[in-house]
Amino acid sequence: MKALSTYSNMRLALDENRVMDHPATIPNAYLPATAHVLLRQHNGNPACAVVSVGDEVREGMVIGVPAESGSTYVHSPIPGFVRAIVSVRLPDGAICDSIEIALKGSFDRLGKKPEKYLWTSMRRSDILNTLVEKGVVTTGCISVPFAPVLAGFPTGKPLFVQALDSEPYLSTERAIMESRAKDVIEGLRIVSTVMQASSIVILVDSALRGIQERVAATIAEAGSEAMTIEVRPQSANFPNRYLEAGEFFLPGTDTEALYVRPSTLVAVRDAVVEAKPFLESYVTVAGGAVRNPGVLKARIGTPIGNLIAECGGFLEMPERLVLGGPFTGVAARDLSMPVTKSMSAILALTPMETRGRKERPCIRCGRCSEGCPVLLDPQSLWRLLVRSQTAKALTQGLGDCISCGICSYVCPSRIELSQFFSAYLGARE
Amino acid sequence: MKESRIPLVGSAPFFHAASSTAGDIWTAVLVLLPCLAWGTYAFGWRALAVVFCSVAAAMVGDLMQSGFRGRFELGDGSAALTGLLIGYSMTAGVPLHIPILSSLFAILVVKGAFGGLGNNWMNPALAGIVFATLNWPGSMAWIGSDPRLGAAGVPESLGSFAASVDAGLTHLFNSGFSPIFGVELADGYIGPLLGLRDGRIGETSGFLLLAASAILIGNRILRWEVPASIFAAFGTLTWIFGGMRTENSFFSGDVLGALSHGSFFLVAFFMATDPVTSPTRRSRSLWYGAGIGSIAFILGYFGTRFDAMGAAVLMMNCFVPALDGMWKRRKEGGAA
Repeated sequence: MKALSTYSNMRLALDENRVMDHPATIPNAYLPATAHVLLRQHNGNPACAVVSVGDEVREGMVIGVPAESGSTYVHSPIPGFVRAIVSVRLPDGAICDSIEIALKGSFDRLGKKPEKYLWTSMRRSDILNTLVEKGVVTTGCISVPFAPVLAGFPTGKPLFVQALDSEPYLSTERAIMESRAKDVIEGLRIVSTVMQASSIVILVDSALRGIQERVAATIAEAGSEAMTIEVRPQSANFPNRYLEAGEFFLPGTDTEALYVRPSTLVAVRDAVVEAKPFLESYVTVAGGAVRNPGVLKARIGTPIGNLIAECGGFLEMPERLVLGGPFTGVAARDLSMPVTKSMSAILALTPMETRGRKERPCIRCGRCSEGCPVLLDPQSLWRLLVRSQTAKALTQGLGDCISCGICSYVCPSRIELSQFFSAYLGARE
Repeated sequence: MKESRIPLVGSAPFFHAASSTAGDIWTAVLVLLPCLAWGTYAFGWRALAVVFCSVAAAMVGDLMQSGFRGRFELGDGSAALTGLLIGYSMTAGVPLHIPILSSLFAILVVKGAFGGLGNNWMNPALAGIVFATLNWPGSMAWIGSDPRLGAAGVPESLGSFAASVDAGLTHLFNSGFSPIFGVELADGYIGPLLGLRDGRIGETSGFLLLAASAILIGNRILRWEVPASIFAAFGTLTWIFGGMRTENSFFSGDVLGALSHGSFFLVAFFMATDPVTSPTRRSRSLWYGAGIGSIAFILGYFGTRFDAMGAAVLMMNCFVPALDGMWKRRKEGGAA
C-alpha cells in the first residue's frame, strides 16, 4: 500500500456533475425484448457457452461456464430462447461471443418472494462455491471473479468498503448505500466472515451531508454482533478519493487490505442469502446529453440505448458515449452495447463536457506535475518517450504510472499524456 | 438511432478541465487591452499605431514561421501576445519600423528558429525588446524622448491634473492609513502607480497592469510565485543597499519608489511568468524569481541604461533547464 498522505497535492473538486437525488429504491429498468449476454463481462477470460441456438432458457439458468481461470459462470438474465450466438467486438477491442436471448415465457424469480437461506451456518467453502456458481464478480474499474480473490486473500486483514464514487458523474455506489444499506451490511458480514477481517471500515463521501449518521444508524439497526464497523468520511477531493479508495489495485494483489464496493457486496448478499445469480447491474446513466440522469437496476444484456431511452433519451447528440467513469471507462461504439456485470455507468457527454480541442504544443505549464497523484513529472516523461528515451523515462518513474488520466485531464494543450503512457506500458507487457 | 457521429476510438480520460492553452493566452491578451486604451488616451493615436504595427508584424511573422513547418498556429494567440508586449514596451514616439522589426525578430528568430511555441528557451517578447534596445538605444530610452511630454515627465494631456490627483489621493490614503502605520506617504507615489506619469505605452499604469495580473493569477493562468519572489528579492535588496548612494547608510532604500515603477510590472507579471521559459514546478519558480529580482537590482544599481529587469529575466531564462533538472524526481527509487 502506498503512503496515502502523499496524495494531497491536487485540488480538484469534481462534484458538480453528479446525480444528486436518489429515490428510496433504485428503479428497475424495463426488461429487454432481447438480451445480449456477453460471455466476457469483466477483465479476464470469456466463459464457454453451454447453450446453442434454439435452446429454451429460464431466468437465472447457467448459459456459460468458466473455461479457464479469470472467467466465471454466466446466467440467463431473462427467460426465453437463444436466438443467435454472434461474435461482437468489445469496447477494449477484444472479440467475444454474445448470446442473444429473446424474451419469452414466465419468470422464476421476478415478482416472487425470494427465499432466504441462513448463511451463518454455511461453511467457508460453501460460501465461496456459491459465489463461483452465482457468477459474482468484483465491480469497479478493474473487475474480476470475486471468489478466487476472497479465497486467496490472507485472513486477519482489514476490510474496506468503498461506499463512495471515485469519479465524477458516478453515483452508483452512493445510491446503493442509500437504498440497500441493510443488504450491504449483510454482504459485508458474509465477506468479513470468510476473510476473518481484523477490522471493517466503510469509506463514505465526506461531501455528503448526513451519510455517516445514516450508515451508522443502519449498522446499529442490523445489530451486527461482535463486529464493530467504523464509518470513515473521505475527502471529496478527486484523486484522494480515487486512490484512498484503493481503486487502482487489481483486487487481491494488494494484500494489506481488501477493498470492496457496495455493488459487489449486494451481489454477494443476493447470491448467498437468496441463491440469486448475478443477473442485474446498478448503472448510473448520466452526462449532459441525457435528459433525466439517474441510477437504474438493469438486467445484464440490456442494450445501453434502452437505458438512455428510459432516462428520457438524448437532449442533444453526445460527443462521447462512455461505459464507466470518465477517467477510467471505455468508449462505447454504439447504443446496442449491452449492460455487463462490471458496468457501473453509461455517460453521454456533450462537447461542453468533453472539452476536446486541437492538440497544441506543450507550454511547460506544469499542471500535469502538480496533478500527478504518484508524483511523476508527466510532461518530461512525455518528452522522453517522444524522443524514444524510454530507459530514462523508466528511471524517472514511468513504471509507477497508474493511468489515472489526471495529467490528460488538466493539460491545457490537450496532449494525450496518460493515453501515451498507457499505450507504452501496455505494449511493454 | 444513428450512432455514426460518435467517435469510435479514443481512450480515457474522456473529458478535460476547462482551461486551454489558446484560451489562457487570449485571456491574457484581453486583460492587457485596458492598458492600451490608457496608453492611447495618454499618448495619443500614435501609441495605437505603434502597438498595431508590432502585433501585425508578430502575427505575419508567426504565419511565416509556422507555415514553414507546415502548420498554422495563429489561433493559439501567442504571436498576438508577443506583439502586444513588444508594442507596450515602446514609447509612442518611436519610428514605426522599430516595433515591426523587433516583432519579426522575436517571432522568426527567437520563437520560430527553435521550433515554435513551447520550444523557445528565451521569452520572445523580451528578446524582441532587447533587440530594439540594442539596435536603437536612442529611440528606446524614454526619458525626455517624446516632444509631446511636459517638463515634469508627464504627458501634456495629463499634466494639468496629474499633480492634483496625486496630491489628493495621497492625502486620502494618509488620512486613512497613517493612524494605522504611523507613517505618512509622501507625494509622488500614487499618481505614477495609477499611470499619471511618462513612460512606455503599456507600462505607464501600474494599477491596470496589477489588475490584469490579478485576474490572470486568480484564474491560475499566471503563477503568483514568480512576481512575488521577484518583488521580494528586489525590494529587500533595494531596502538594504538602495540608500547607499544618497544617504550613505544601509536599510534606507526607497522600496516603494522602486516598486511602484510600472515598467517592472510588465516584465515581472507578463514576461518572467511565461511558462515556456520559467520552471515547471512552483517551488523552483521561487528560486527563479529571486534570481531575477537580485540580478535586476545589481544591474539597476550599477547604473546601466539597459532595461535591468528585462535583462535579468533573460539571464534567468538560461538557468531554467538547470533549475528544472535539479531534484528531478520528487520520489526516489523506481518501484513504490
